[in-house]
Amino acid sequence: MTRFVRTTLLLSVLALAGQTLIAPLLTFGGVGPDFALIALVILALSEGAFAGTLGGFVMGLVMDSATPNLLGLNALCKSLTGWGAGRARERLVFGLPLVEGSTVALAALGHDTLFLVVESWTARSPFFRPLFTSVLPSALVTGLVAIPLVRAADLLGLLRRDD
Amino acid sequence: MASYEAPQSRRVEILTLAVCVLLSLLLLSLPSREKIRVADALGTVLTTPYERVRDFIADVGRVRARNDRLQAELTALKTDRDAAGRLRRERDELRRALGLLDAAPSVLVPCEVQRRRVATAASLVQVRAAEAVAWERYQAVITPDGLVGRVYTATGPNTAWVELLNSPGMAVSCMLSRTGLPGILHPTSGDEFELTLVGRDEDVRVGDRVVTSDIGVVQGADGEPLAGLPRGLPVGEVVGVESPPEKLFKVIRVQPRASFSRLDVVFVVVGRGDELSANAFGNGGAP
Repeated sequence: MTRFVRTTLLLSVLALAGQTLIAPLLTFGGVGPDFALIALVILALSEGAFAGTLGGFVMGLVMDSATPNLLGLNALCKSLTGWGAGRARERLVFGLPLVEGSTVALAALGHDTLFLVVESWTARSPFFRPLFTSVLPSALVTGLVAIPLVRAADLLGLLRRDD
Repeated sequence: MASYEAPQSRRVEILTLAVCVLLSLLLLSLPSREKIRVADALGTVLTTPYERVRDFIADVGRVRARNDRLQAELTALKTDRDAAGRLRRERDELRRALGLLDAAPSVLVPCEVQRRRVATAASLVQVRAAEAVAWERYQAVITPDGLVGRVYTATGPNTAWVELLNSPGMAVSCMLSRTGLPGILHPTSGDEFELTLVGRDEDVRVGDRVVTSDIGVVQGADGEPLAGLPRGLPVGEVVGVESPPEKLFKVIRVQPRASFSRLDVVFVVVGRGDELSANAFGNGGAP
């Protein structure tokens, strides 16, 4: 329990500080890293699908409170992403930066694509253009930024390994 | 390949996911008005603590920076005050040597603004002091920003009507602090003023500070001088200077430092000395 609380607090700080302080510095033309998603994936890889789903839901609600017209969308996307990342941890090989970066990039791609699908469906907004100009590049940047963070989490012992 | 023993069963995980997804879809399907209401409630519960901590940290940073700046200003002001004290002593010695009497320091009496009366003839506010005041007509009334008016008439030991500086027909003897040039300040339109009777060839610049002058002492019916404005009270700043060819005097526009619409607490200047004392009820109270 102590470990779970410590992990959650640490990742909450990463998500909040990264999203509010660092992400604006690394964002160009609307393309930038998603620190909240990186924190969510690390939480799910560390604590499993249950914590990933709940963590994603709460994190999504926090973000949704700032955008009332899409209330519930972030919670939906992040719940599914947290669950998916939690389930994927059983099949992941840690210690390979390419694998860890790709995992986060795929999670970001899935999350943002689902978000875009629902958003374009409800708000009648374009889908393909933002998919190629925003979602794909952002997923790549998020994956790249995630590599050192996932490594750091592994070194701190957040990602449990029994091998 | 790593293998993990999940702390929760698959069934619990799927059930959690289903609940979260259902709740999310429920929120998504809410009408716009309900969404805004729920988002407000969520924002209050989820983000307010973080925003408070963030604002507090930002405030601490700002306060520290402001504190450093104020410390520097305080040091400079202390140096200036010491220098001004030396100059004042020298001036007093010279005035005593010349046989000129010095006015005693003026006293600032804090008063609360109670009422406001705006008419075409005058803009007045009624002020009330905590203790009795030795009211006299034309006593200066100031705020920390500068002069706002002068006492019009006393209505009791503690209360008086104050005519504001922007009252139609108001005229105050002022001077430019940089050059000492005297002039008469009149309200023009809104909260803007004009400093008149300054020669067209005089040196006046935008940004010059305008302060009160003690030259124009008002004479009463019996010839006794009435309490006028002490010298050096800040009034405003020159914001425009013109020298029309057909006029003998410059047209000088002055922006007042004090606000006449947001008056809460003002200070009545009791006495005519240009040295101000904050000892509210020492010498300022009625005998």
